[in-house]
Amino acid sequence: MSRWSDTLDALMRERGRALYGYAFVLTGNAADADDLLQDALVRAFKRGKGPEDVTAAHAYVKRAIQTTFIDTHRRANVRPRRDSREADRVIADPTQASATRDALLEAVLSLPPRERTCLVMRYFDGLASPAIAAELGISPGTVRGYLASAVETLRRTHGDFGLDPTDALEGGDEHVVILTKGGTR
Amino acid sequence: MSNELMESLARQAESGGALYDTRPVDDAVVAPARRRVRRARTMRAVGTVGVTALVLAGVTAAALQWDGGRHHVAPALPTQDATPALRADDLLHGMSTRVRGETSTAQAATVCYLADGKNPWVEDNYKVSTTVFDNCPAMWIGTSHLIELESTTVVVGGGGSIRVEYLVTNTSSDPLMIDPVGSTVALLTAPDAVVTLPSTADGQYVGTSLWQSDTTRSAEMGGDSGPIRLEPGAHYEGATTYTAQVLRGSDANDIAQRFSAGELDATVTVQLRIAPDGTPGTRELFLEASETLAASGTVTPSSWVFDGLEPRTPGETRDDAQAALDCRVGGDQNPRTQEPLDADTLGTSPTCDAVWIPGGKELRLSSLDFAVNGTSRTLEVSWTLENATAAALSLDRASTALLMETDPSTPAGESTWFQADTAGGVSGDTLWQSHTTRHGFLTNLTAADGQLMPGGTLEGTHTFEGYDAPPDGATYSVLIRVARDDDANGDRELLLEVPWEG
Repeated sequence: MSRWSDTLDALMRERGRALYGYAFVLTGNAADADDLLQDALVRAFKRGKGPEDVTAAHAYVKRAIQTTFIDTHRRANVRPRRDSREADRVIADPTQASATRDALLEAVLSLPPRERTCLVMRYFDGLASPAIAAELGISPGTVRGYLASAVETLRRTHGDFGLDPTDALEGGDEHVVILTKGGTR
Repeated sequence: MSNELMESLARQAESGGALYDTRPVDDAVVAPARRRVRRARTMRAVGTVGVTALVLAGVTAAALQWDGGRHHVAPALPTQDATPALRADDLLHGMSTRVRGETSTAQAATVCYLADGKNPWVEDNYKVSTTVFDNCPAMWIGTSHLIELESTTVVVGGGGSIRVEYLVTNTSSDPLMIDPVGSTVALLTAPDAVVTLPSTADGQYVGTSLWQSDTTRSAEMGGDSGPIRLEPGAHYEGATTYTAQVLRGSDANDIAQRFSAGELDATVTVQLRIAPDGTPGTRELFLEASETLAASGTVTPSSWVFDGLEPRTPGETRDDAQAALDCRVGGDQNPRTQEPLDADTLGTSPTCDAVWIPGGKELRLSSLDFAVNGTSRTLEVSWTLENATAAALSLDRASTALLMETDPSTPAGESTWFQADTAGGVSGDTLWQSHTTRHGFLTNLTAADGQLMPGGTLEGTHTFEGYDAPPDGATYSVLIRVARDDDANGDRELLLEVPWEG
């Protein structure tokens, strides 16, 4: 068996669950997660020798999940849809934690792809906007714009649950990213 | 809310993980991904040069070995370099028009402008390869060279192919983000002339010149891409082989003979794509470097088995001649004779001239049987070749292939897909690449120590993946290599093609 195929096998054996979970966070349903992970694997392995080992492959595929998620929606010509819902539709009692999480997730999944991706990278991966920018190959200012818009939508649709917009834009870890393009970090 | 949001996302990831544990993700995700990767790698090889290295498909296990493409390059690995590498957008400043015949210490370049959304390098998982040829403004950039071509060699192979090898060095003081895979190497005979359209073949030019007017140059865009970072003073090695078929189809069809006779010097020009910053947009930048030199090597006389071959065209039938393929690949591109590579089984599907060998049928297919495995969706095709002559035939019984054309009415060169594997399965709508050329198959496996006696038979089997039944209307033929006295010479191969007429 060729090396890329062995690496693919090892990747799915060791990290498949985590990668699929990540795709599921972005897409919100199994069928789309299937497609997204499949597309990301193709992107990561279709050229050259492919990733050298499982760690590199994990990084490649995770980044491919992020960019493919954005690109797939762009190819499908899905325009970002503004959420016109108002906060009065959301759960009134924030102590209903489970319901709140569900509602939050629903709101996250209603965000446009770029905003959703940036939000997931900020609050799931714990990355700061410069690190997100480096991963996605866009400017930190653009990332902050997406995050601000996403947060504004969530606050508008779910009210203020103590969210700190400044932390959303300025917080996070700047030292997690292993992929950089042109030294933007 | 931050904590709730983080917890919500974490729970969602865990839900996805639980789904992964319970669903057949391997069938839904990994298996189709693996098939697409294999196909993409196959098509990449097909799309980059006249001689094609094959990826394994399906049941065949072998490693991709690719030596015929545009360039040998490292994969585009992520880097953690502190100094930003210069990209196209960084260099598209301070340009001035370059006029044919002009000399300068500045960097020669070609800049192509594309309509929004028309850049063929924009990633699309469902588009394997699209190539755009354009007539683009010639430019000067900066005040000094950014790249130089060095150590170039041009070697004529005995079978009439030409091998070009070179180094491209970053002579600037900044790292460059280059895309050698998306670049083009041109072999030119009069580089300062103006021509209407040079002859091209994915990533290769051969012809008179790239100048289309006094201020515009030809450039090719699209196909594969693989940006890498080239540090100041560093170089990458490139190599490409122009097969005899490619050369004969160009406007410099006697170039190998003229190089061989010392009548012409060769000019090698590399159009090196500089990667854009982010998604490819409406401009593409190619830095150019050239070197003119005398070629080495000579065209050698071919074996008698190639004497008297006559051209064959799609749909043509003859009872007084044996169908065959004349494959002029160059010994370094022939898996049977090239330097040993790190793989057990190698195969290539070169472009070969379709020919007739006058004198009657030499072989016939006496049986062709199908076996379908509905579970694995595989189609196993077994065949039997029979010597139809009254004489022993010298054949290479290990060098066989089964061709399957699923829509043979497709016009030559318009097949929507193509696949080949190292076990010798070659398939597509049609395998005619032009009115005179077809896909062949060559392997490093050889068993040419015996003869097929009159009436003698030879059997083989090939498995195609992804079929529930034999495709309606498909046609089949078997290829087998003719063993020669001068088998050590791999510049050219003759393959008998035996169609199934049952």
